[in-house]
Amino acid sequence: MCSEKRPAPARGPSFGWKKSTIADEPSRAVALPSERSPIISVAGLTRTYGDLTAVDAITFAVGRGSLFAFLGPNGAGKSTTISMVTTLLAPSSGTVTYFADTEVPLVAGRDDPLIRRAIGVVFQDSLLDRELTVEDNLLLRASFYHSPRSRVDEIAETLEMGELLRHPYGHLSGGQRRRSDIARALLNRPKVLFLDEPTTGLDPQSRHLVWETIEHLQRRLGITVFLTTHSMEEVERADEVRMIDHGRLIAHGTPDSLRATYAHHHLRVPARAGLSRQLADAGFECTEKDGVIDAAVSRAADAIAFLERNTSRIDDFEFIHGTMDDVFLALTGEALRED
Amino acid sequence: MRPLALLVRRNIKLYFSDRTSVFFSLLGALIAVFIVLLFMKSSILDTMVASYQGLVDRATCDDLLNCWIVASAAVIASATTGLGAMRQYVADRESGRWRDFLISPVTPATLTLGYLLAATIVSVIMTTIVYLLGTVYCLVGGATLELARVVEAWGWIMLCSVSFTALMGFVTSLLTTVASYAGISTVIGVLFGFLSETYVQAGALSTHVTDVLNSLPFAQATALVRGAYLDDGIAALPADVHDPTRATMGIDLTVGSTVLPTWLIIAVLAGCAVVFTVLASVSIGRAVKGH
Repeated sequence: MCSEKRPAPARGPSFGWKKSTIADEPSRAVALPSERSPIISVAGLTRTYGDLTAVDAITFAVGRGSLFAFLGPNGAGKSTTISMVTTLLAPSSGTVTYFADTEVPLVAGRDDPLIRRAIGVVFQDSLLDRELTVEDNLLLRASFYHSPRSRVDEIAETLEMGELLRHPYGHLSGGQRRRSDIARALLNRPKVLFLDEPTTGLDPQSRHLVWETIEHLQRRLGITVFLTTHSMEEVERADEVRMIDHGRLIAHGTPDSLRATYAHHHLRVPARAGLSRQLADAGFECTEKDGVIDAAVSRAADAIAFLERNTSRIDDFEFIHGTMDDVFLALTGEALRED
Repeated sequence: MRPLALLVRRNIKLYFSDRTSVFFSLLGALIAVFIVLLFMKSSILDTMVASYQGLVDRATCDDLLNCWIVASAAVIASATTGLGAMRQYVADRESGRWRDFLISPVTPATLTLGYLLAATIVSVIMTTIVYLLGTVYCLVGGATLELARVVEAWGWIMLCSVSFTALMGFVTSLLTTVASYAGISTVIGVLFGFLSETYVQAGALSTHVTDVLNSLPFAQATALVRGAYLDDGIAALPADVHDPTRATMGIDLTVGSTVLPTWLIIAVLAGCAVVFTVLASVSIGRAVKGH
């Protein structure tokens, strides 16, 4: 029953996870990427539709070169926020400022054409023309930036998709379409790449390929990635996470710090006489079902200490880390949907 | 200019890639041709021969009627093919594809021009094809057609393409879904046949109805094209029947007791082209900006 990632030692409990994943306290020794060197600064951003406030004076920053995850349930204001940050929608109030490689910061609403040259967006929907070839699609979009034809060839080589160029976009698989969408977003050599649920609807292999591509680009080109996702696995990759609900920011931190703050771990042990009472005395909230006791544990160290005190009574255990799903549920009351 | 050229190319390519859409954009013209050819031609010919009282033989009437059908079909096609090409605007609007365009430095004005220019070019191409095929049909049938008049008629058809595509651009700019577009285009395709006095000839309608139809640019455009295309054929008829033939075949249009001069019809069509191009541009531009 014991779940572990590495072989168990001869004695005692075995916890086969990386040390970084068992941080019980948020690590504040190093500043978050957004605090060190922001590339996007959002201040008091608000959007109203009549009496409805979709986004309510939110303020945050995105760290240069980081993978920034923006989470929220459906209807939280996520899409509205992104539309404003990417200049597709004018805010009712507030500012969005880009600190790209220019001497003067770029302000949305004033410098939209310059901002659009500095960003790339992979939309959740596939927006390229299905009837046209990938090459025709990319050449058209490249012309918007006055990029030469060679730029399309360069991107195709970087993403290893040269063989896809001559195929109609509509004939490609989901993963191939996504790579084409990423190619489109990279035509203008963006400083910030927005990914709106980039792997929704893809099979695991395609997801893996897409993320391989994104991480390769981040390493090679130093692109800042702004991600929205419902995937727990994708959130775990982020350097920094912001959560929004009902138009307001409700949490901020690294995945580790958010889990440590909002998610409970679970220690499961076979039910033995008196063990439930022992766990309750230790301050753990327990439930018992089908001969297994499930104890909610806020700190892994507490679980370790309990196991060490009760080695004679426990011959098997399972330790389940708190997940971003738990964080999401704790903060919004909804599950973080995993596709 | 390059983004505009590639946008126009993209819109034209997408129109021709959808064969069903291409077919339906010609349906109005095809319906006009088949309705007249299959259901009405015989009775119209009988009426024409009887009205000429032996001055014009049936074969000559048949040639004239064929030319009349071709001219009418070409004018209808000039509108319906332009409308067909504007489908892409509605599809892009409904799908949210503009986000992918507007996230780049391309301007709403460039997008707008891309749709209108592409639709006009499609209308020119498709109408010319319809017109050429129809002209070959008439010539094979023995109709009297001189090159100069054929070219003149083509010129007026091109004016129709520009004017009516602009009008269709404005109508389409108000639509937000492909489903609503499909409904509107079906109605327009059939309606144009009536408004151009193709399904029902002017002589068969009451004076008041005829005055209303003749006041509109649709019948006027058809009259302009018919006038050039049938000119040689009518000139070959006995002089006594020239004026009655031009009236019956919807070439000389009257509103009240006034015969509409050619220069007025040209001015109306040119005015339509300008006004509806401006209106379509403003309407499409607003839709794109407010996506």
